Amino acid sequence: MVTRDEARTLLDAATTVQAVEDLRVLWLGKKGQVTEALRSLGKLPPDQRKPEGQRLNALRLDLEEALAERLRELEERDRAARVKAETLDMTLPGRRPPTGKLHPVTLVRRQLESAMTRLGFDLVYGPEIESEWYNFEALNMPASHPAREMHDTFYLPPPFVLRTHTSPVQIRAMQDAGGRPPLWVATTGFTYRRDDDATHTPQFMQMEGLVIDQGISMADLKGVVVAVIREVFGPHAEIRLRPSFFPFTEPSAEVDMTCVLCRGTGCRVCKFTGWLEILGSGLVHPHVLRSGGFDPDQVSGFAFGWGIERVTLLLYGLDDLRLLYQNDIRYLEQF
Amino acid sequence: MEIPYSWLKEQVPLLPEPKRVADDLGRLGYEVANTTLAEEGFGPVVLARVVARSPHPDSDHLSLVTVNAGPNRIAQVVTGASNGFVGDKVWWGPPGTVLPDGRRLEEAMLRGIKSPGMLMSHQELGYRGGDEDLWIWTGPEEPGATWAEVMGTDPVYELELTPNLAQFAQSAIGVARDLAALYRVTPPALPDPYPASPGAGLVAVEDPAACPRYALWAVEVDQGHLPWAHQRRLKSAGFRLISPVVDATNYVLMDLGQPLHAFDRQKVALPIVVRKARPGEQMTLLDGTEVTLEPEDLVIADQVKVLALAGIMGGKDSGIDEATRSVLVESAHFAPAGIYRTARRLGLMTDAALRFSRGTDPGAVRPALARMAALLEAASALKEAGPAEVVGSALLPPKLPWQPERLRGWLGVDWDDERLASDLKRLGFAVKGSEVAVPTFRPDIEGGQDLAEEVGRLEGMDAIPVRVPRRSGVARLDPEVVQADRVRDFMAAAGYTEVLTRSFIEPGLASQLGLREGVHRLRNPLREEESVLRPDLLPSLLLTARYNRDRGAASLAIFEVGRIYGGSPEAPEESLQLGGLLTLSERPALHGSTSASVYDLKGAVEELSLVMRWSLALQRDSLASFLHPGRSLSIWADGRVMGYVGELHPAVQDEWRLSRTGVILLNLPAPHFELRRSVERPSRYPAVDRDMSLVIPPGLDWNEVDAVIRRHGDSMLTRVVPFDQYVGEFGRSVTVRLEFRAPDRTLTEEEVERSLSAILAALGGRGVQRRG
Repeated sequence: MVTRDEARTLLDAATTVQAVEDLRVLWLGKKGQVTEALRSLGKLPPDQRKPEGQRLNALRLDLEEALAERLRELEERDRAARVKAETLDMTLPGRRPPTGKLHPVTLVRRQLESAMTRLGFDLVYGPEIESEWYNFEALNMPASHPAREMHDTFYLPPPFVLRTHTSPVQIRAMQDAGGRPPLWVATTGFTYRRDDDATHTPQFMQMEGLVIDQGISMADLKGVVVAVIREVFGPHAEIRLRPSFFPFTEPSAEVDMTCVLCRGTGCRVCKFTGWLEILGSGLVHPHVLRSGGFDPDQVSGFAFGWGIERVTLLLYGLDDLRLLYQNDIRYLEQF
Repeated sequence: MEIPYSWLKEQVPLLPEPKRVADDLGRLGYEVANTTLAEEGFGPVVLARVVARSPHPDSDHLSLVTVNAGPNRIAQVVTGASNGFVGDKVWWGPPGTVLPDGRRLEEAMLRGIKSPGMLMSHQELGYRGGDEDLWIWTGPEEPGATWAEVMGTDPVYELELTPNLAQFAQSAIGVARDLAALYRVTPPALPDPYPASPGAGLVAVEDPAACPRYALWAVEVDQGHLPWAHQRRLKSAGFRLISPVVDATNYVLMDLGQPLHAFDRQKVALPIVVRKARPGEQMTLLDGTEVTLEPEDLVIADQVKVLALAGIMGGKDSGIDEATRSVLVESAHFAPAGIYRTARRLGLMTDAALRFSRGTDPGAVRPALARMAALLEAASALKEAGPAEVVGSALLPPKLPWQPERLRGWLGVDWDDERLASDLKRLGFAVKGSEVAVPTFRPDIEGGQDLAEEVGRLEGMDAIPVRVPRRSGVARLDPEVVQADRVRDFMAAAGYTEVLTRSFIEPGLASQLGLREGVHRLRNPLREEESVLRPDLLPSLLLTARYNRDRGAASLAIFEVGRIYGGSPEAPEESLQLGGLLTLSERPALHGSTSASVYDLKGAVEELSLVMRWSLALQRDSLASFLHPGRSLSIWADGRVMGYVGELHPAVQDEWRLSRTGVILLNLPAPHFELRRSVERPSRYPAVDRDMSLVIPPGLDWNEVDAVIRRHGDSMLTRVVPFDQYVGEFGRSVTVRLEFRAPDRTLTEEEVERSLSAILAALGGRGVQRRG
């Protein structure tokens, strides 16, 4: 008959699950030593039966416990060995889902469109092949006006041009409104000018907003423009207006905002002025209101516009406009 | 425009210091692009007295001149000048002096003798003076005085003028008027008009509408030169000094904004006639170009020929030169539109043409002659001032209604009438009763909103409060753009990176690919390769693929949702197209590799159609010629071909030197946002799957096999998923998983086997056999 100490020694020597199972069969199996001994209790003299039975049962319980304990140890050991064997080099790069990237100009266009809709502007769009009337005349740029030369135009067979700005959409939106205020519209889209150098691409994207209602003033323009700029560049942005000129607005103002990098203290980006020229604006010229079917004696309006590429460069901290449209995949995949 | 501070200060003596003026110019709408100092390179130049002079030992024409330039500063300078004797004060340019032509003076060795810099002539300092070699200074200043001390330091502003400022402020007086208004000091005044001599017989105006005012002044001139300060200002403003008459006209131009023109009286058969050109009339301009005139062109003619293209450029045969002593000076006001039209047609946007096109001050016509006379006199070049004949009367200032309430409304301010009127008055406007008189020097002012701008400029935009207007109602989006953005999101999520390509391509590119050629040709493209508006995105995508391949990109997955341009030149149409391009080779990946095939493109179209609820159908026929006929499909909606998906034809791949490349081209259907769809409740009962390999005879497409299976699989057959294909000696086999499932019970083996037998029997009828 096995003793507790012998059992302990034998179990310690058993290093596989099968070896432990073999010991269980030897001791507690149907024909195991303890099982047999318990079975033959009846053969003992009556006065020995009880103490011997108690002893054997206690031994059986001890053995069962020792066997279970050993099995747990071995399972833990095996699991630890498995975990060790399965260890990967987790410093290898992750395997990314093959997602593509949206173009940065698309991302910024959506950001601006979203800001404009949240401020209450309807989004409207117009054709890129535009008539000279919509692109120029309606916007107070008659053929004899020198201001027309500010726009280096791509001409198609008359009467068409590639629109030089998104402002013709203002006229179309006004006409769609049938002369009934209020009108709150914003547009984005490609525009074209015959310019190709370090700071100009012949195709570029503009965004503009237009509000027409009774009693619209320069004060309203300032309020909306500062709201748009803070929505896009953050709550710290401040603006200042400088008198300027656009044929389709009067008064006209260039809007500067505090530099995105130095917040106005002066740095390389803002040429140490603390300000960045960001947007053109003004009250809608009476001629333009009339072109769109509104009566300048009844309503007034403001309009503002900016280049989406410039906003993109500022938001992402980039310095080369041309890279945006070279479509080098190594560049675009970083956005 | 470059304008020195001293010129503005001459107009407005109470001007503050230069830095403040620069800042305030910005507030008034002038962009001060740069501020420099006049004659900055003359820093070392100093007044010196000649104390000794001796011949150069080794040269007949050089002299050694010892000068004293103040206490303890004596130098011996080698000079070739014939003047500059003991006692004379001369200008010495020591080493470090930078001359107007950019030359930097150094210590030189002249015939073996050291010379620190040089003694200067007028010409070397950029001035017009006497004929003598060295500039002998006769002023009271003592030797040792520097150039800047004698002449003064003078900042020069480089101003960028917006077109409206160019209409009234492209002159010293124009800028000075704004500054005087801002600083609330006396505005600059024009000189008193030159006296007119009616009936002098000098001039007749045939077209007073085109030339409302014309003055011609006869004057006899002599040699001479403008005072140094005037010369210096002209230099700072970018003018070359030429002769007393030319310099004086240039000075008047920059001073008052009035272009003047000088004729040689000897070459003119008086009287002069201002008239429209005769059809086909020809003339040779000052610069030698021959122009053919049209009846819309205004000319200045005499009794036999055309002397000048009015307001644009003089003729070759009537101009003045150094020897001219008898001069006719023209000062005129022309109607802007006519000058602009002619100058533009002939490509002659001269400085005068630009100014007359923008509008000049008719009130300056006669004062300009008076200023000219004064300048000639100051230059000692006025020999005899003859009569001036003036045609046309002084124009009355235009009037605008005085509407202070509207001014407040436009600006959004509560300033009282008095404040508004006083602002306008400071700028030269006059408020009287119900009207505002606009000064003749403000051709840019057309209406009430212009007055609002003037008040805003003067008060400063910061003075206007901030108000946030609210709209009523909900902002609307554009369905077509919303749809296009959803397509962009889908494509990016599917692994394609967005590109934005140029809308114009090379002529012939589209037709080479078998597409319809673009119908919209630019009349003035930047380059031939970008002269046609694209009728399709395919060329743009191929150009982008080639660009990236040339930069080493082995594989590409790109897309664009962009405009394409169709219709006709008379009735253009623009629409949105999706273009995708995928390189069909192995894509390198760290953990094993996956290969992209046309099925990836097809799958993208199928999934996109599902997501967008477009119900697109794909067909093997009706393919475009740029496609591989065995590896492509046409995309259909509403009975029309909307696009294609598939691999490029090998000929196109070779032509563009691309590896295997697949494309998607899809004209976006009209947007509709259908949310209703047939959605099935998931079954609670288990499915039974059966996998089998089917050997499919040549010529039979999977589509047909699939249709047979579905037709004979009854309603228990819920999915048919082909998941492997093998091509061997026996032909082609496709392994397919069939899923059987009932919504209300667990299927029995017998039911499934029965259905399977029916399917296999039907397939057998089409020559499809189960393999193994």
